[in-house]
Amino acid sequence: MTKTGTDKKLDTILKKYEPRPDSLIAVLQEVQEKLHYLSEDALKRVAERVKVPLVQAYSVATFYNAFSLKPKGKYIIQVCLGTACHLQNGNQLIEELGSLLDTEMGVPTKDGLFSFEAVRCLGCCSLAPAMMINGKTYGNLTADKLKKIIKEYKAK
Amino acid sequence: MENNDLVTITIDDKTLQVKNRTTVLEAARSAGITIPTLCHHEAVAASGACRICIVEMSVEKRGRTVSWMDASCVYPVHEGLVIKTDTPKVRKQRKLILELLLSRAPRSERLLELAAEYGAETGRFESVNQGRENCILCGLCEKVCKYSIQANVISMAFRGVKKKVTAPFQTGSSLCIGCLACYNVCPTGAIKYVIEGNRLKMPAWDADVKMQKCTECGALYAPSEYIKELKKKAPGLKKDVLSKCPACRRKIFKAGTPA
Repeated sequence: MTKTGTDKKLDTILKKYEPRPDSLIAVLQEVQEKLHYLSEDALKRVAERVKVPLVQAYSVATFYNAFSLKPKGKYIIQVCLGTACHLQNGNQLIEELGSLLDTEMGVPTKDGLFSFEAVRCLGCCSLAPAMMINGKTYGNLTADKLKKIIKEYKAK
Repeated sequence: MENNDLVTITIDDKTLQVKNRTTVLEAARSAGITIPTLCHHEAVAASGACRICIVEMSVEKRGRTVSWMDASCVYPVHEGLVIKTDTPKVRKQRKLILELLLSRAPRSERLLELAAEYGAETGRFESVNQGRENCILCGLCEKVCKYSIQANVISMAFRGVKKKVTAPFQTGSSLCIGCLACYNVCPTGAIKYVIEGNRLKMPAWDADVKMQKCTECGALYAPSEYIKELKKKAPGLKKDVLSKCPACRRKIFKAGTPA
């Protein structure tokens, strides 16, 4: 049986870490980053590799918000809905993104490029309304700006 | 001070000597004093999760009495500790704790018993039990599964109001051996099982295991995987013990020829 790209990526990640329980979170973080989510299969293989019971890996994966058991897009858009952004109509960004990307919150686009979620305060209230795409912050957003940014990412 | 040294403590006006660092709960029980518990079980380490065993404690410090409240199952005794297990303050705290626990487990018989004793009312707080009726998240089932049985089938997952005990991906665990340890330790009766045909099913973990037939009378008496595990853990067990139901076992042992 030939291995899929995902399997190979997973292999590479797993090899990098010491096969012991305290590697668990580090491995999960990298799998989340590279594969954009923790599939059942991935979680099983991680648990096996670092020698923890699957149920423990599952417990950790469901506890932290940084991990997701559902697929996310390659570009994760985090729209700030903290107090300042909320007052500056951050909610509208979410609606805008929904129609722009033709998907709903938490569900990746068909091409797997984008998914968006709401977060509480990115810590840059002076830039409200703000969002973050894979760690990069965008502030003082308007519908037009949003369109432009998404276009840039699509062209990448 | 070493752990084997004796310390003098007072529980409900009884003065007694106990080993240093035994818990207040153990000390009280050794003196015949009852403290209610839910999340406590001898098989696993105390965790102080349910708080129902709360007691009032005090010590004399520089001529003054300092008092506080704490969970007796995790509080180690020390010299001069004075413990009161049934004061108005204790009763008031237990009532509040029960009302909070009842918001998750409004129909648990054990909780309702305690509620009657302490005058706690159901429905004071909004219910937050994520569809798992009567679970107070004390963690006993998780611990026996992990540490006593070492089957690692279930664990706490998710967090906040979504926190619950579950098997990974909520799907029938192939690891469950049907030992029912979780069922037996659950203080609120939240874990249930049914036997359908020759299968033992635990809906909470979506577990489904085969029951074994007694080689003598054909009665279903224990899950097969459980018997296998027993063989591994207690290699000295006689074949008759492993392969026969309790009733047939008794007959054979009475006759005096166990194989």
